[in-house]
Amino acid sequence: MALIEFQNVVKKFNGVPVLDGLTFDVRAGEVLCVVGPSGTGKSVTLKHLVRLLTPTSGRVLVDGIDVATCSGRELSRIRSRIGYLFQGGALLAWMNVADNVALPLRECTSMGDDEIDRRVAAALESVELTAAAGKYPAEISGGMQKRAGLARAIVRPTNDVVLYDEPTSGLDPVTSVTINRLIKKLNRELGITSVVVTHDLPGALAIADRILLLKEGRAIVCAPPGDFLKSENRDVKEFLAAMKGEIP
Amino acid sequence: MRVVREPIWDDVPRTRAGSTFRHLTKFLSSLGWAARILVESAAYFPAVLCRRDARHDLAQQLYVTGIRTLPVVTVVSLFTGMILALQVGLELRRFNQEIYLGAAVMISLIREMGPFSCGMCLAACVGSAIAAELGTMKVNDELAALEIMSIPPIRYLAAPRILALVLMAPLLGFFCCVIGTMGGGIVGVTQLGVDFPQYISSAMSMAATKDLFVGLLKSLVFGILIGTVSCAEGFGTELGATGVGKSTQRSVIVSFLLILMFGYMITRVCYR
Amino acid sequence: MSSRKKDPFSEAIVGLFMLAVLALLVYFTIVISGVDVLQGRQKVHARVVFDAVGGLKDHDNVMYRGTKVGTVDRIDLTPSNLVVTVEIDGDVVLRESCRIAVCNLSLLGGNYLLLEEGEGEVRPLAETLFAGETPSDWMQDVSTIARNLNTFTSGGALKAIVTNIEAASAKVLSVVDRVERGEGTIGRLLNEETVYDDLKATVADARAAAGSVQTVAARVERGEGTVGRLLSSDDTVYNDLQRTLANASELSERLKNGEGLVGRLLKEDDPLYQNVSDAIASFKAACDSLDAKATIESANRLLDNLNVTAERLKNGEGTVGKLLTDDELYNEIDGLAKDVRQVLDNFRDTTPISTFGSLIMGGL
Repeated sequence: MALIEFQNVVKKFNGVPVLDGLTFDVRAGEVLCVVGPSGTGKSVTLKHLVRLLTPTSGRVLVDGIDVATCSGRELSRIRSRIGYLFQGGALLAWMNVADNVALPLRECTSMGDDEIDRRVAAALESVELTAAAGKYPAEISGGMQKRAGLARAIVRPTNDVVLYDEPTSGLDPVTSVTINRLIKKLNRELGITSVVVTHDLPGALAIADRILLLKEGRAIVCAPPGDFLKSENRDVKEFLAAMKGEIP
Repeated sequence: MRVVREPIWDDVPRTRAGSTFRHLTKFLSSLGWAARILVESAAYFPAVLCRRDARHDLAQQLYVTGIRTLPVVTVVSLFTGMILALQVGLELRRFNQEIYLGAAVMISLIREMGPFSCGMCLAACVGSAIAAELGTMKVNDELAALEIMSIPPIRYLAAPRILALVLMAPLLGFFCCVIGTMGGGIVGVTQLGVDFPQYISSAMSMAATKDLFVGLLKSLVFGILIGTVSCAEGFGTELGATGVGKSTQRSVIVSFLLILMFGYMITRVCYR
Repeated sequence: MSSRKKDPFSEAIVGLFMLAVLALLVYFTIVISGVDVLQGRQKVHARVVFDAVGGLKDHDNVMYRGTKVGTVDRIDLTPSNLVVTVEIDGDVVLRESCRIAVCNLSLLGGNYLLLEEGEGEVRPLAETLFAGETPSDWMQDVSTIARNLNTFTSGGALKAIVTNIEAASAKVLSVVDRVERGEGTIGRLLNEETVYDDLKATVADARAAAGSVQTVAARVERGEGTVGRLLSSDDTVYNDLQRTLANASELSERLKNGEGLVGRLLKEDDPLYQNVSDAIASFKAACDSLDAKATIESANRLLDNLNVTAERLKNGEGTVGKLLTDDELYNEIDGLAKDVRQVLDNFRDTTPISTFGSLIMGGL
């Protein structure tokens, strides 16, 4: 069953379409990697899932609920299920890593301090960041910031969907592999449904259950990595060639 | 209320009328945006005071607003009082009326200069910092992250800051009056030959409860204005680092202008 | 793990600062509200009735024996007057004849309420409804004066006044010029001290002499004394008198030179008087050789001279009064003029003794 559905979503900025009839779905428990050239609407697609943006037309459904038109309470419930990993981690600068991770628990649940500390410790351990718990965002590397952001995205017990916006951009290959490994690990161990927007095709091929190629706001192909690589679609071939550094 | 709003790209108006209409629309939109932030923040004040973590945030903001600005406020108010005393004292000396120096300095400070200099300091030190901080959070997607975590930025960020300014501005305004009066006393004693007890006696005898309360009211209003403007500008930041700079600059300018305008209006209403 | 638990210091500082400023604010509010917390003096509310308060307002000071003892609490308007309630120290003493007035703090404005103790029995502050003086509005008074002045000077009256003043000034200037040049009696009086001194002495002598002459004339009229007897006797005596007139004229000339002997002679005691009597006896014998007509003409010339002198003195009276502050001289001259006038009348009435009078006036 599809947990997330994009139904013919059109999004225009000042009359210019960024998403142009985008239709795809994400099944519960799978890892969907969204790839494509820059400016094709990948990040815009993710933002529609948490109503940071609303579609000009079409529908975005999360567990059958239209995110764009649902009530505030329903939106909060949807958002409570979704963790969002921003490109820079989006950690609050005046809090240390542990407090950043604990933030959604403190603000949105009635958990006691002990329970919060226990869950924060578990989340940090799952992203292998226990040692940096007391450090401030400015004191840790970009990769660590992303891992801290990831820990914050999964710390709530209700989190079963994580949206990754360029999780490996700006990172060295080793750290990128670490992040990708974490994504897959969380998916496997916690059953977290993941939508990963990335330029990192090798990483996507490594972690994705399906790969969605966007071009000019439309879904070109949505297929498992093996089928994606074998696709005869011209856009896919061009994308793959570009990724390999070939000049068509 | 959503703080993270969709970007708006407007056509460039081709006519002067269109441009004027666009500016008017933007102005009204900004006004409404700021008013909504203020009202929604005020609605969260009880939550800020009741929640333990929020109280910690509030205490932190009070520290930033009140204690960190104390050196600047002290220096500014001290010299404000000294300048007032010197200017007024020199004129009073021409009429052998130096005994009224304390009264003149006290009334000037308590009615206008205390709240005004306090407001200027807060707008420059605290308001700009709030705008820059919130603007940076905006461009770094931290506000979006808060919204996605179902943590309303207005409750979590704006309410403690505005409440801290509301609580601290009157105290700082009064603090300005006290320090300014002391500064005036220093000038009076050292340069105008006024006896300090006489200066204080004159100051206290001419100060009226109404003046004090009007001064406190002004400081309170200035605090609200600075907090609201700074949060609105910070939340409205667009276009990265440049946007942060512009927001900071705008928050200071708008705060200064509003302080002057509201200062006049309150004076007009209270001293008809 | 949480950074929040590590920052109690800043919160304590915030709390301390807020507490300190709040405490100061509360104290300041109490002080400027007029509540004497620290000294703990008992405050009493007293009420004073005024017809008008001349701008007195709430929180104005109440002064007693030169010190502030309280403030005006409120001012209530009643149908007929104003009731000012003041909050003052309980130690203030106001008696039956106490005075309560609104006073101006300075020309720049501001008022205070002045309490003066007065005399009589002590009046209880809280129970008594004191009566206050209606303050004079000096600004209004000045305004009234200005308005009256406007009315007075409108319609050309001011111009007429100025014209008159100009004319008077011109005359005064002319007189002053003359006086400065030393012209006329006043001029000489002002410029020559000797003249002034002589005049003063002469006038004094003349007054004394005139008084004596009046006395003598009265006695002569009554036929008393030597002269009276001489005049009331037969023609031989008269003729003797005529013969001596020439000698008298000579004596008169000597007296005109300023010797002033007659005054002293008249004031001398009996031996001198006897000598004069003897001289008059000789005088009587000399008169026999003169006719009455010549005697009358001589007397008339003397009278004319006296008239001219008297007129000059009379004309000088007003000017002297205005230009000189010497009331003594003025009074002397005034008295002299009156006396002279009276003497002249007596001379006219008593022509036979005119020769004797001429001796006196010649001495002047």
